[in-house]
Amino acid sequence: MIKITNLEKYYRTEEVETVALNKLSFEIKEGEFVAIMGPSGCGKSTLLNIVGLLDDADGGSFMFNGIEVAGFNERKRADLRKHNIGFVFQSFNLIDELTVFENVELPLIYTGVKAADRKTRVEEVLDKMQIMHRRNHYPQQLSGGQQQRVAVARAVVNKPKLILADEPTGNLDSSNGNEVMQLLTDLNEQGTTIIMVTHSEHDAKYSHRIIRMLDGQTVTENILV
Amino acid sequence: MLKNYIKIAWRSLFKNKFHTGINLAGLFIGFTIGIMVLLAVYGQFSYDKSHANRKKIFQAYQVFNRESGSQIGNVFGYPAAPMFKAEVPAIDKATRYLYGSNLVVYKEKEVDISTMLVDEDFLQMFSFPVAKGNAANPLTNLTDVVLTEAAAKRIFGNEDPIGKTIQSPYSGSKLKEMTVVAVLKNFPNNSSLRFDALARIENAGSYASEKNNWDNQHHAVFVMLKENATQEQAEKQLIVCNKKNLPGWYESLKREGAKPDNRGDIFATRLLSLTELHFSPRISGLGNGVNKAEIYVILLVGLLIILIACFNFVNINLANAFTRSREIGVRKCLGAAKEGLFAQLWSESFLLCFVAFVLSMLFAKVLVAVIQQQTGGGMPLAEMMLEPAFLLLAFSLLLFVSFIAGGYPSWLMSKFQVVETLKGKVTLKRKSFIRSALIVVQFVIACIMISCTFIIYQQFKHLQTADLGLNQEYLISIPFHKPENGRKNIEKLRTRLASNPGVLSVSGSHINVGVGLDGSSAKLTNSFGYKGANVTTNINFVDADFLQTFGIKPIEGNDIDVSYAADTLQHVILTESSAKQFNEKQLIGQHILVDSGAPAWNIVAVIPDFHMYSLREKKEPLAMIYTKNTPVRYCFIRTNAQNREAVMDALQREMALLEPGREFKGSFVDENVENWYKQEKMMSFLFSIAAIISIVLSCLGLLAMVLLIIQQRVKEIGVRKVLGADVPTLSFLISKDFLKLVLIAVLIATPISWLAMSKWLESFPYRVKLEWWMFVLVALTAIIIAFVTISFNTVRAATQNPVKSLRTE
Ligand SMILES: Nc1ncnc2c1ncn2[C@@H]1O[C@H](COP(=O)(O)OP(=O)(O)O)[C@@H](O)[C@H]1O
Ligand SMILES: [Mg+2]
Repeated sequence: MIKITNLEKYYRTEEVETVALNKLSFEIKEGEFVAIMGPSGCGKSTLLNIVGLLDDADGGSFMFNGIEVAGFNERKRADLRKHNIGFVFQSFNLIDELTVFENVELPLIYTGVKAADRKTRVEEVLDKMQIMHRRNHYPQQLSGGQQQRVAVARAVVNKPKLILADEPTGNLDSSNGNEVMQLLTDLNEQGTTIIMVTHSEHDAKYSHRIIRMLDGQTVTENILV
Repeated sequence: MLKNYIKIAWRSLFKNKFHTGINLAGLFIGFTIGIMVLLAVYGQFSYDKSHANRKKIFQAYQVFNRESGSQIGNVFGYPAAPMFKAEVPAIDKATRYLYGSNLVVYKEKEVDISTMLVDEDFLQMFSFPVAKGNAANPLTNLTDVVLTEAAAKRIFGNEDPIGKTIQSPYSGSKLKEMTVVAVLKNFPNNSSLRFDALARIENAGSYASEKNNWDNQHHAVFVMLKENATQEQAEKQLIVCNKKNLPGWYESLKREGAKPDNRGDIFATRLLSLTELHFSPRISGLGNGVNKAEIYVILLVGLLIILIACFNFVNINLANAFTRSREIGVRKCLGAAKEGLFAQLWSESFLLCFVAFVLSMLFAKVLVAVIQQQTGGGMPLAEMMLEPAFLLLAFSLLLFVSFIAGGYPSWLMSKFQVVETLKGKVTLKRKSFIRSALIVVQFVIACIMISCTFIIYQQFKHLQTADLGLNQEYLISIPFHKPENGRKNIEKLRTRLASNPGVLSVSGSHINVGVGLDGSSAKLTNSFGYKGANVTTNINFVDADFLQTFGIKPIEGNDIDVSYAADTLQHVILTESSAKQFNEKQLIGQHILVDSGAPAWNIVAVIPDFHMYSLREKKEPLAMIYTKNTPVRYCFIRTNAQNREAVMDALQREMALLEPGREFKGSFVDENVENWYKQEKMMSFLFSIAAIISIVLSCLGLLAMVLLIIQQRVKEIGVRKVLGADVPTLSFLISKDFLKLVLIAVLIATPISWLAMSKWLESFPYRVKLEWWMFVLVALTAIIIAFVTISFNTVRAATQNPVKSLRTE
């Protein structure tokens, strides 16, 4: 599903140039659950942003479902992204002005789903995530675990093939964290490919494979399953 | 999608109540000003639109390119219009337009009705539709009179006016019997030509004796061109006609040293299109015109105020944008396109603009109603507000503002990089060029407005207090309703008030000084040859004791004495500049034959030039003529400080006896002189409003900006305070960035205001001198106002307990 070869990314600020990704290569097959680990600043988020088509690489190749997407312009990336990829962030990134229902509904609006269909699909996901009773609450009225469940619901409502999660349990206590990990595992079992960045060896055990990074390069890969 | 946008818009507007409030207030003020300005301008452009032939109708005027400069005359002698019609092939129809009278008598009842005297063509040229009576050709008979519906109502009440006989004195004639043949529909006030009644010009008192006299000029002339004729053709043919009929005029102009203008004419009759008439008051001489330049100034001022309001909006939204960056990032991440985001953000601005706009429209509606009540009718503004063309205009204002105000911040926000926003890396920069530039522009505008207000007011004061060359203090002016009885009535007042210690002297004048309660003014000119020289002078008909009453000291000679009434001579007082034209060493006592048909001029005194007309004009040569049978329209009474009010009361009682049943319109000349400068007074008033609004709006924006910056720097302030900074240092730290901007604005505004104001003052022959201290004063005012606005908040921030601000992080 994803084949990355010699991927490069630099950040240039006034004087210093940071190499965030240094000729990185790996492959991920459909249906896999992969954890990415490594010390802070090694380029995990940068990688995830590129894989998630939020950002553009400076060199190398990135094949997504057999299409070369490195060098796609913003519009093309956005198009591909909104139909295929769901995101879960460490800081949830829910919109404060919208209710739980409206937050989850948002991706459907952007992909042009009709209002009636939206309602049934959002309710279906909220049910599955067990936050249906909070549908008219605003994010600040929820606990961290609940907020992350809403974020997961928002990520999956469009039935994406790929879910990217950047430290999804980083802001949660362990019981809430486990709950979220269980949700991701369930989704993976239903066929969704998942790439997750994490610092926790415990969470990484939920995955099939761990990619370890250092200074913008992959160092080892552990196959768990 | 749209529903989603609006929902979010509402919520985020409610969430930022303070900023929404400031934005709404600013936009409301901006829109209200904008709508009122548009309405005022729209009203001006609605003038004379109803005439079907308006593209073919022109007002004639004369240009004399004298040695001293070009002079425009809008009045003609009786033979002109008929001559143009007969001899100029391009001209199809022509009408004269002369003030007739202000009085209609019907069965003992006297009514204030203003009648204009015209030719038969008048109603064929202009579209004043007939409501009742002879619609085909009213004014065919000399005794025909046509009334407006309102006038008919005032004279006849509910009686049928058609066929009724009324009486009027026309331009010095005795009461004439006239028959009402038609009633015209009432026309709105946006008409350059205004009248209550029309009658044929042949009824004018002087018509029979003057009908072939080109030199006595007293009425406007309108012509209508043939279907395919052009203005250019007509003007060429008019020159041919002039050369043929007025060789004497050309000769005397040449003798005088006249220079041809850029079209090669030393004298020409030219045409002013009806479509331009309202915008050429100097040429048309019709009192209700305005210069296009004035309209543009009003538009510009309105636009500038709207810009200030827009800039506030832009600045606050820009600053706010950063607090919303996360939301925008998330939306983009979920698939929102840049265009969609722009649409969403812009629709938020639009929503706010729309709310402000609707409130402003409603408020404008109320304002218009109040204005109409205050001015008693005037322009049909309330109806105009609902015309589709105006609504379209107002709506474009809404679009314009929402694009300017909402467009840039929305565009900027929709361009945010997703990755950056999700990291929370997009923050409000402390110094942003755009933001600083907008604040500078706002204060530049505000400073210019303050300067303009200040200098226009100075000029108004200058005009108002300038020495006219006569003593306008303790001088009373009373218009007569029947000028033909003027001399008799002055004589009666003189004898009856002789024993009143408050009345120092009594005289009369055909032309008022200043603008009295009757609002009328007039200018008569005469030009004639004298021993090979050409004499051109304004004329006024006056009564005895003129110099004493007006407080003018003669250079030589004496005042007109009451006893001169027995003579057949015309006794004349000349001003210095008119006397000079005669080229005589000794004028006093000379008998000068000006017009073979009239008695000779006996020059009794030469006086210094004085201002018979406003200081907007240069002093012109003037001859004051005294004969016992010319009409005088005003009585002048000199009184003194102690008796000012008592004499006015006495005069009111006396006038009630002389003109029973007529409203007393006596007024003090010093107040009337002020009225000359109503326009300048109005302008300085309008500018002061504009200045106040601009400075308030600018400060409102500044206030919001300062608060936002303080919010961002709370922690810094706290740390500095812990480290020992005191309150003045801290508030200066925050204030200085803003004060710098205001200072820059003042530096930019000063030369602009200087230039603009010198340009404006150029049109005044008598003007204040621009002094550097005026601009320093304005600059200081602006800086102090800004400083107070800023430091009010910075001091508050600086005095806050640092522990509190550090904990909030
Ligand atoms: N916008 C940016 N500008 C400059 N440097 C950046 C930017 N984003 C990330 N970096 C640098 O790139 C490297 C990788 O960052 P990141 O991918 O966020 O690391 P991780 O997520 O593994 O902690 C780090 O050295 C970081 O400082
Ligand atoms: Mg990271």
